[in-house]
Amino acid sequence: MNGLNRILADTVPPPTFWNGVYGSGGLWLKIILAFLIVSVALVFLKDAGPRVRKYVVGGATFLAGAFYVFFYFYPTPLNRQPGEMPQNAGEAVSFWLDDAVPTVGQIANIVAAFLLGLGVYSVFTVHVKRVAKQSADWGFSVVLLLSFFLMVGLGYADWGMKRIAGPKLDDPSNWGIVNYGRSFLFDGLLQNMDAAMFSIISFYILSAAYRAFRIRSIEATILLGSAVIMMIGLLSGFEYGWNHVAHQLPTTGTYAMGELTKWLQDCFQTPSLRAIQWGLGIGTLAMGLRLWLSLEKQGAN
Amino acid sequence: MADAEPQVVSTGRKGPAIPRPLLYLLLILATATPLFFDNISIPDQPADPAVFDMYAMLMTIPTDRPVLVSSEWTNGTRAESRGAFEALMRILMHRNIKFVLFSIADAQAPPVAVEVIRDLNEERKKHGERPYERWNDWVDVGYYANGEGTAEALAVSVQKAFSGKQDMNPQGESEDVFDSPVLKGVSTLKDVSAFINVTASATDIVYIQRLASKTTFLEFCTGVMGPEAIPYYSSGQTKGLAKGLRSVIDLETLMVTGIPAGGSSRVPAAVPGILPASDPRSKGRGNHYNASLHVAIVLMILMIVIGNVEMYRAKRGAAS
Repeated sequence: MNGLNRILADTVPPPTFWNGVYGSGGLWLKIILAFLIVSVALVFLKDAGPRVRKYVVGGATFLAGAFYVFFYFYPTPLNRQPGEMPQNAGEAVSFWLDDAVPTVGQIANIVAAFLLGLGVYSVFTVHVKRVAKQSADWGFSVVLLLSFFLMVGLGYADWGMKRIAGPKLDDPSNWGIVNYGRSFLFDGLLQNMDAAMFSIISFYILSAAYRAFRIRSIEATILLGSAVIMMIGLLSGFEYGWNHVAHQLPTTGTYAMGELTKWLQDCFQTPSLRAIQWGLGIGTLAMGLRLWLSLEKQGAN
Repeated sequence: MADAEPQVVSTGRKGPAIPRPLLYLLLILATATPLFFDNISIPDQPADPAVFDMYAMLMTIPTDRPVLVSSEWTNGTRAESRGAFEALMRILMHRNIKFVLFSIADAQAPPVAVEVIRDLNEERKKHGERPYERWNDWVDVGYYANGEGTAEALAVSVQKAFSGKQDMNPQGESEDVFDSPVLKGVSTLKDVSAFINVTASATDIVYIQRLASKTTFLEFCTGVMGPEAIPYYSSGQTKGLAKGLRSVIDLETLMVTGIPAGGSSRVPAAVPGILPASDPRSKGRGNHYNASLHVAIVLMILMIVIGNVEMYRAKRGAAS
C-alpha cells in the first residue's frame, strides 16, 4: 500500500539504472545480479594472494574516488524535472551521475555501518579474551561486557515493544520494566556520564588559565588581552554595564563591547582561520590524491 | 602515573600556589550554585549580527514547507547545544513549521533530540498548546553513518537520500516517511524551507561544502566551534549563526523583544517576538545557565590574574 502511494505521488522518481519499481521483475533481476557479483568477488578475494588483493583494493579505492571526482567535474543537469529524458549522450551521462549519487551515498552508509560492526566485534573479542585469561583488570572487562549486553538487550526489547504497542509507549505511565530499564541505562546513566566526561574539561581549562596564561612576552600579553576581551564579551551582564558607560564617553568612536569583540573577530580571528582552513584544504587535497591513487604506504602499496 | 601528580597547581615559579583540590572545589561551587536559583536575572543586550540574522531567518522562512534539522549533539555539550535546540524547536513549533530530524555525527543524537521534543511537548500541554506530533508535525529519519555521502545525496535528492526510511504514524504503524504530512511532496532541497544544523562537531563543513548553495543554511554550533564557523557566515554561505551559550541567551532575548526594522542584514522588516516577557518560557535554558557562565568566566579571569601576580612576586623575590 505504501509502495502504491509512492507510485501515485507526483514526486516519485522514475525508474533508473539505480532503482526499480517496487516488486518488479527488473528490480529482482538487479538484486540477484548484484548478489551473484558480490558472491563471486568474495570467493575470488578469499583465495587471492596478497599481490592480487593489493591491486583489487587499489582498484576499488580508485573507482570509488573516481566516481565523485567525475561527478564534481562533469556538468550538472540544470533544472531537471522528474521524469525528464536526456536529449543527448552528454546529458544522459549527467543524468546517470545525478541518479547514482544517492545510491553511492547509501553504499557508503552501509560500508560505514559495517565499520561500526567491526568495531563492536573487535571490542567484544578483546574483552572476552581478557576475561577468559583473567588478565590485568579483567573485572573492568566483565563490567563492559555486562553493560554491553544489557544495553543491546534492553534497547532492542524496548524498540520491539514500541513497534508493537505504538505511540502508547510515548507516555511513561504505560511503561513496563523493559522500558524503564532502557531509559535508566540510556537516559539516566549513559547520557549523564557523557555530560560528566565532557565537563571534566572545565577543570583542565581552569587549571591551565591559572598556570599557563602568563605575561611573559609582548606576544603573550597581546594574546592574553585579546582572550580576556573575548571572555568578557561572553558576559551579557558585564557587556550591558560596559555599553552603558561607553555610550556616555565624549568620543566619536564606539567602544561598545560587541564592537570590540567583533573587531577582534573580523580583523584577526576570521582572516587567520581562513588562512588555516585554506592550508588545510590544500593539505586535504594532497592527502586525498595520495589515498585515491594508493600512494600511501598504508594503502594498496 | 596518577600518584606522581603534584597536589598543587604549579605556577612554574617558586612561591605560594593554590592547591588543585581547592581550585576544583571553587569551580564546582561557583558554577553549580547559580543553577539552584531560578530567579537570577542578568540583563542582556544582543549585539551579534549573526544571532539577529538567525532569529530573523527563522521567523521569516516559509511555513508551508518543512525544514531539515540535522541534530549533531549529545549530552556532552548539553550546556550549550540543548538550549540552542530548545530555542530552535520553540520557534519552529510557534510557527507551525514541520521538520525532519536526522544525524550524521552520532547515533545517540536523534534519541537525545527526541527527548527534548518530548519535554517541550509536556511544557506545551501545561500552557494549553497542542503537542507537536510525531509523524504529523515531525519525523525522525535517524542516523547516517557516512556524513559526506549522505550530504551529497541530500544535495541531489532529498527523496532518494531518505528513501526507504520509516517512522511511526499515530496508529502505531511504521510507514514510509514520504507518506507523512511532513515530507509529502518533497523531492529536492528546493522543496524545503531551510537546512538547520545544530552541531557540536565539524559537520557544518560537510553540509556547507555540499548543499549550502541549494537552500537556506542556518547553524547552531558550540562556542568552541564558533571561530571556525564565522568565515562561512561572513561569506554568506551560512545565513544565520548562533555560536555557544551567549548566542542562545541572545536568541532567547530576541524571542521576547523581536527585532526592529533594519536590525538584521538579511531581513529588512521588523521581526516580532514570540513570547511575552511574563511567560516563564521566555527565560529559557540559556538564561538559566547565564549566571553560571558569568561566575565561571570571572573565576577564570581571576585565576589568570592570581597566576600572573604570583609569577611577578616570584620574579621579584628571585631578583632580590
